[in-house]
Amino acid sequence: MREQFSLFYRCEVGKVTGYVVKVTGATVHEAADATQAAFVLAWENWTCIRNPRAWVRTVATRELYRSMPDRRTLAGQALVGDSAVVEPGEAWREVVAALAELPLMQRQVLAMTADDFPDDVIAHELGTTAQAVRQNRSRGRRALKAVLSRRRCGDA
Amino acid sequence: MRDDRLDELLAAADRQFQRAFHAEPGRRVDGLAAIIGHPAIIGHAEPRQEVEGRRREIWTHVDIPELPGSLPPFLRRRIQLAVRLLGSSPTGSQEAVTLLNRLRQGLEDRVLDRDEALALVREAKAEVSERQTRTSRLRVLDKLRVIEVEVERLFDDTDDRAGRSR
Repeated sequence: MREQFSLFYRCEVGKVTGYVVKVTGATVHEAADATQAAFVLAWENWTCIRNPRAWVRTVATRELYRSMPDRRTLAGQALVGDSAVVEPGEAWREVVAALAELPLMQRQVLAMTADDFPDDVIAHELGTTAQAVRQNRSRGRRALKAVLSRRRCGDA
Repeated sequence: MRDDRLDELLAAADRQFQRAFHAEPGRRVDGLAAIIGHPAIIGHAEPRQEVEGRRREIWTHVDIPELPGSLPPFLRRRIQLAVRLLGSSPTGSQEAVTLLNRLRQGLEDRVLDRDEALALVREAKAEVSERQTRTSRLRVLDKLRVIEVEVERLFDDTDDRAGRSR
C-alpha cells in the first residue's frame, strides 16, 4: 500500500498543484499547500478511495477554497506571486490568466480534460452529466480562444 | 485562434509548469516523507544510536514505531498527527515541530510537570498562529487544542491517582 501511494504521490503531486492553480487562480504556493493537505487526507483514507486521481483534485480544490473564504475575485490577481515555490514560463502564465476569465465549471472541465479524465468521471466529480461536461468543454474552449486572442491583440 | 494552436498552447503550458515544479525533487521527497512517516518525529529526539537507525528506517518508509514510555497512546498519536500536518505543509513551522517533539519526549520520560507541558503546547500554538497559511493553521490549531485538553486530562488523572494514594 505504501509503495502504491508513493508512486501515486510522485506521479500526481505536480499535476494536482497545476490543476488547483488553473481552477482557482491561487498562487503556486497556496496550491501546493492545499495539494499537500489533500494528499495527507488521501493517505489517511487510502483504502476507501475509489478514484484517487479525481478525489485528490476535488479535495485539494476544496482545501484551497476553505483557505480563501472571501472567494477573492480571480480577474486581475497576480496568479503566480513572489512567494511561489516554482516559476513556470510565459505559456503557463498566459493560460492561467486567460482561464481566470472563464466560469468555474468551464475551468474545471478544461483542467480535468487536460489531465486525461474521461467525461463520465468528470461528470461524477463535478456533480453533473456527461452531456453538460461536453457542452462546458466546447463553450470553455471557445471562450478561452477568444480571451487569448483578445489579450494577444491587447499586448500587440 | 485555431483549435490546434489552442491545444499546443495548453500542452506547452502544462509542460512548463511540470518542468518547473519537478525541478525541485527534494520538495517532493520531503512532502511524501512528511505524509507517510516524517523523520522529524524521531529526528528531534535524543540522538541515540538506535534512534539514528530508526530515522533511516523511516526515510525508507517503514511504519513510525510506537515508542515505549508513560505517554498514553491516544495522546502520542495526536502529537504525531500534528507533527505530520506541520511537516507536510510547505509553510510548516520547524520550531513548532521541535516544541511538539520536546513535549512528546518529555512526557515519555516523565520529566515535565503540568505547567511545563502546557507551556510547550501553547508555545507551539503561538508559533503556528504566526507562521502558517490559513488552511494549515486551522487544521493544526484544531489538533493542538485537542492535545492541550489531553495534556490537562493526563495531569488531572495523575493528580487524582496521587490524591487517592495519599
